[in-house]
Amino acid sequence: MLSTKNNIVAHYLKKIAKVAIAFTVFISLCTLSTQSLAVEKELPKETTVFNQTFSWQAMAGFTLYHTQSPIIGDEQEDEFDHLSISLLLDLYYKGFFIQSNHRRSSALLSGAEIGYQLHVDDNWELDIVRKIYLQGYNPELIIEDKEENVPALAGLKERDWAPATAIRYSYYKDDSILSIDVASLSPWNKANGWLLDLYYNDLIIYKNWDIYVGGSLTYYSNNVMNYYYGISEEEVNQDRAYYNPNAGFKGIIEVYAQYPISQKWYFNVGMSQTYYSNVIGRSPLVDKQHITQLMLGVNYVF
Amino acid sequence: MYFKLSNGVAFLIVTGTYLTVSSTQAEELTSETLLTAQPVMCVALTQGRTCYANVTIKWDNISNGNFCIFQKSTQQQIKCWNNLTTGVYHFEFQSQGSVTYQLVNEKNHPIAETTINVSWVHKKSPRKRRWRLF
Repeated sequence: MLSTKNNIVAHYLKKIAKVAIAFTVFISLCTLSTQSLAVEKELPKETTVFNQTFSWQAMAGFTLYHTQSPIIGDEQEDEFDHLSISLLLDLYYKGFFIQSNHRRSSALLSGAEIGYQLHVDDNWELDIVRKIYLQGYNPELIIEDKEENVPALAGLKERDWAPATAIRYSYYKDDSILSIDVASLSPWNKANGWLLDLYYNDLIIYKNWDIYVGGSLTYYSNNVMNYYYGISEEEVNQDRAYYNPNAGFKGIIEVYAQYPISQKWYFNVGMSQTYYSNVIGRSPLVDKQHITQLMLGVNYVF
Repeated sequence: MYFKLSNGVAFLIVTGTYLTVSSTQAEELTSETLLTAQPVMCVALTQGRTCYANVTIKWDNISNGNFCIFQKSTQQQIKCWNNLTTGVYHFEFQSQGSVTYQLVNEKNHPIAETTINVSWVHKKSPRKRRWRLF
């Protein structure tokens, strides 16, 4: 009980801190940006430490977003849930890289990846990548956020996030990219399965706008599906029946656009539509098979 | 939800306005003539990309005359006026680099100039990585 109360207090403190930090950082960056209108800048973006040169990029993102989850009751409950601040840090050194997801509203953990370039050619690349492919969910926190009972989630065990190691093949042609990730979830992860992720993205340039149109198809193995959308025998109750799903997939189409505001700031807006396969839709834990996500924000480039 | 998003749009527009008000006036070659361009800065997303801006060039002179605006580097004639003390020209600027415009009198002498600078948010990078939205 004490642990639950602590979790709730920590959850709300995190929300308050998020808003306070967002406000402070935003005002600071606005002030900074007006002091740095140099012309035709050549930002070195390189740092030498112990005679070794790293290249890097850092950005801060401020985003308003609307998101949905297929999990029953998992919704954005108040205005703070629609606000996100992100620190995006990319680092490259002799083929090793740490790169954040420049689109995601919660980029620090969701979508950030660490890896090594095994081979780089003009039009293709082979990498080994470590990243979180699936976000978990905590039924207890979903119920607390909603401030009402969600019978399908009551007493359900928490599903952890899914870090995985992948081999990624990327093919580049003009302003398009096609990449395939074959990922194995950590053996010590409770899901302990694998996934195949196919992603395509095309850049359309219109005047100062960059418009990215893309889509992905992700195939999840039985174990992955069972861990995130299945109901084990010990979790069965009158509101959720035993469910042992087979492999399933998720398809996404998305459009995202960027526009420069100044040398330090750019505006970005995006929308995606996700479709989950029937085997996910039939889970007692799922109440949405199609979800729509929207984001609108500004990014500051250091 | 829509109400919240519309608030967000308003907030961003206000922010963008605040960030772009730092334009400066163009330089003068003579004290009698003023040549200005607005905006004086065009920002592209990535280094090396063509930058687009709707530009207004305005000139004022203390006496009547025949004047033309030229692009300095190419000596391309942009627009001419006859027997006037002031002129305004609107056009869509497109360039990968900074461009200087000159106001030239009927003796073909440049009497004022102004520069539209081109800059960018991201330095050009050989990395081609893309990120999915959600």
